[in-house]
Amino acid sequence: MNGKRKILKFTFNKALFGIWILIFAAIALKNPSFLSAPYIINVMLRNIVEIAIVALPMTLIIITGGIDLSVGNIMVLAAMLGGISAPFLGAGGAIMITLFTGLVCGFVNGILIAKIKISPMVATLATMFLFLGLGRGISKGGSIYSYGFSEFMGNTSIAGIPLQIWLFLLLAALFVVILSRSILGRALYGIGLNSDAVRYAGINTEKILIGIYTVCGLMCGLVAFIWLGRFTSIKYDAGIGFNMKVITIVVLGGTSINGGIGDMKGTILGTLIIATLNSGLTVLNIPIDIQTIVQGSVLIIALISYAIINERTKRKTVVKINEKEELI
Amino acid sequence: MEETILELKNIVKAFPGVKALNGIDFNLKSGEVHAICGENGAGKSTLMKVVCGVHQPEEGTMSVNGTLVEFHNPMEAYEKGVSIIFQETSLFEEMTVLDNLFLGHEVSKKVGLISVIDYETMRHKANEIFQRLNTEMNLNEQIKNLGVAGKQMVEIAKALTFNANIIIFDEPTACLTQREVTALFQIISNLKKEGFGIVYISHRLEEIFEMCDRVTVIRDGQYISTKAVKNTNKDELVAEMVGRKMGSYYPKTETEIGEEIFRVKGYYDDGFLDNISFHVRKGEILGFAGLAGAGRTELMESVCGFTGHAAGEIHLDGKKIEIRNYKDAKSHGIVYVSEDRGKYGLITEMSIEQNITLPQLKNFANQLSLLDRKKEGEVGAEYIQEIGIKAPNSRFLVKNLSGGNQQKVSVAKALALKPKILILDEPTRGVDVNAKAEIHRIISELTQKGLTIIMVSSELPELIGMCDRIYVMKEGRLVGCFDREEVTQEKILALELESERV
Repeated sequence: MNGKRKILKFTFNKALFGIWILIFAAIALKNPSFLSAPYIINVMLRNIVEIAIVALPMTLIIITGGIDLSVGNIMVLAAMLGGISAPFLGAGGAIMITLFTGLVCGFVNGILIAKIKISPMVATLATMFLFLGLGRGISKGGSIYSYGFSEFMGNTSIAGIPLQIWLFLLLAALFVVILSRSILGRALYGIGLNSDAVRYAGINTEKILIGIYTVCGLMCGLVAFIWLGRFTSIKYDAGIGFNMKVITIVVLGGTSINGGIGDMKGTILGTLIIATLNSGLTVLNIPIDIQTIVQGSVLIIALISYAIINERTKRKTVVKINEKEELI
Repeated sequence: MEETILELKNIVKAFPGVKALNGIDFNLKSGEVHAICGENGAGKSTLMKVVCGVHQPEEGTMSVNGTLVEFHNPMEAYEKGVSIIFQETSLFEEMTVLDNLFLGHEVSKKVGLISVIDYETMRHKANEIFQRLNTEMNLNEQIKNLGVAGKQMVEIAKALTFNANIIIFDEPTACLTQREVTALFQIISNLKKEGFGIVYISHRLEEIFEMCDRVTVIRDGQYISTKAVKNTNKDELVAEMVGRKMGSYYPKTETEIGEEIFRVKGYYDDGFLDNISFHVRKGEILGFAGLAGAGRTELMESVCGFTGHAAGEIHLDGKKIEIRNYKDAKSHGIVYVSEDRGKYGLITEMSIEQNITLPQLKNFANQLSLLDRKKEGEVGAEYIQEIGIKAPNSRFLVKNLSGGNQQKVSVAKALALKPKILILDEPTRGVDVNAKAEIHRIISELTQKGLTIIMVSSELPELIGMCDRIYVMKEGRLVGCFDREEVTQEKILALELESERV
């Protein structure tokens, strides 16, 4: 975006970074064992990585002013269908089925939203229940177990760092570039700010929307392996809370729920903050109900600081422009 | 006897970094229509916001109906009899006419212990008001189902429910057709006869000479003059508004007109367009006149492929071409600039250069689809220079530009596509006199460079001043075509109205 917007983002990301350091330092001071690298990598980061990966495409979606409430349920459904088919079709078949399930679920969301013009919240609320119900029906309410490939995805380390964290780093770099530098990224901001103007520029907005919801579904398929491998089994209700956690991270990262404003780096910082809180508060033996309250409070603090920074930047902008108008 | 009902003395209003109003004097008598003229940014809207209590002035006094007043919010102004009818209506789309009229001051009656809205009385009052306005109105209609003119009528009626005796019209005709304007003027002159004082703000100077008794000019927040309309003329007003003499109002330069370049044959879209055929020659400016709803915008959008369901043929350079969507149109060099730049034209939260490159992002990206921001900046700077967009640099956000400069960005965005045929829909709507003249100059220069322009406009003087030929549209059909030499406003109007009766 333009210069001023950059300063704004920079400032907000800096504030987020400050919040993260503060939380991190406070927890580390209370309990120094938190600072060990194995703990940070194998517990703190490994526990958030599924949510973190889905938050990447979710950021694209929210930038366009949309939302996807069904991601957790897509993940569960994809993991189940893969797990069920693994004994019959082998690893190759299970991989295909898992990814294909994610792809199709995301595509259905995209069609409902882009072609049939159902509001994203309503459309994905409906598919959320649809996928939840399908998952329950297929598994008959029972558990579906991990198999070779998901075992591998969830529990392999390369150079001392879990495979899924490498995967996240790779995808994060890719999504940062897509949003900030590519044609698609520009179009996504445009759709969030003024979808009609993008359409009138001759850009196929429907295709773009279907594309990002489909990619989001595909990512849900990808994390399905990791989740299943990490927990060794999955039940239909495993995705409960997942949807909201993904959205929380994106919003915490400064992406406006109305679309058009935000960036991928904020989402990554948001991920770190939530990860630190989750693991850190557990290390401190703080009960789960208090943990939830703390998470809510941190989100509110971040949103308030975003509002303050935003307002201040706006005020500065007004003065600057008036000065310029006098020059003209 | 005429009495002064509104008097402003030495009004000063400052915003951080700028003095928006600097010593404005103004007075309004009962039974007069008093125009306020000035360029965009001259301070007209700020002044009116002071009068109706949205802004509070730093200095100066204001008296209404003989008593000194200070308004802290619009409700206080309403209660003292000052009503404003904004350019964009402030009505609630989903509510009915009746609910909108009395919103915030509903009539209530007691039923037992609770007070309920007294619809009977409200309905009675509303009918009375619409009778006074000589208009038929379904009180149960939702606002969203009314046209622009209908909404305005509700706004006027709403002002009357407050027993206002001062009514401010802010650009009331900006979105109206000629016929609706005539109806509005009838209402204004009735109000005037009833003794209302009316403040009238408009960019269209013709209207001021048609409608108003006195005119006050302000420029850059300064008071310039107040005159009786019959003692002044258009050139004098324009000169006072811009602070210097302007040469020609419509600087059409004669260009060489070449061969036929573009032809539309038998265009048909159910309910909108009926068997439309027209052609345009290279270097020509072709105008489309018509009332709102005549189908001009629909025709242009259809030709450009925005609506996929029209039937008909398009020929470019003698060859038949297919346009299924706007991408096809762009690739053939047919480019459209929408009438509503805020809604369809620009992304105001983005920078000038980002808006200019939006329709052709592929040309600003490498093989990996990554954007080359330096190249974007260069093109942005090039067009700022070429079209004369007043902005410090091309990274400036469009929302911080004036209406005229925003319109220039719209034009720049189209020109950057290097079009053969440029379709401009209402290119000067809502821009001030100065910017208007500049846009007209740009259009003239473009045709000299061999560009062909199709221009849709609701302002007849603009069409007559700028175009080589003018088609007149009516209810989805073409009803006439005039050459530059023979055309007059009266001829076009007569055609628009006559064919309506058929």
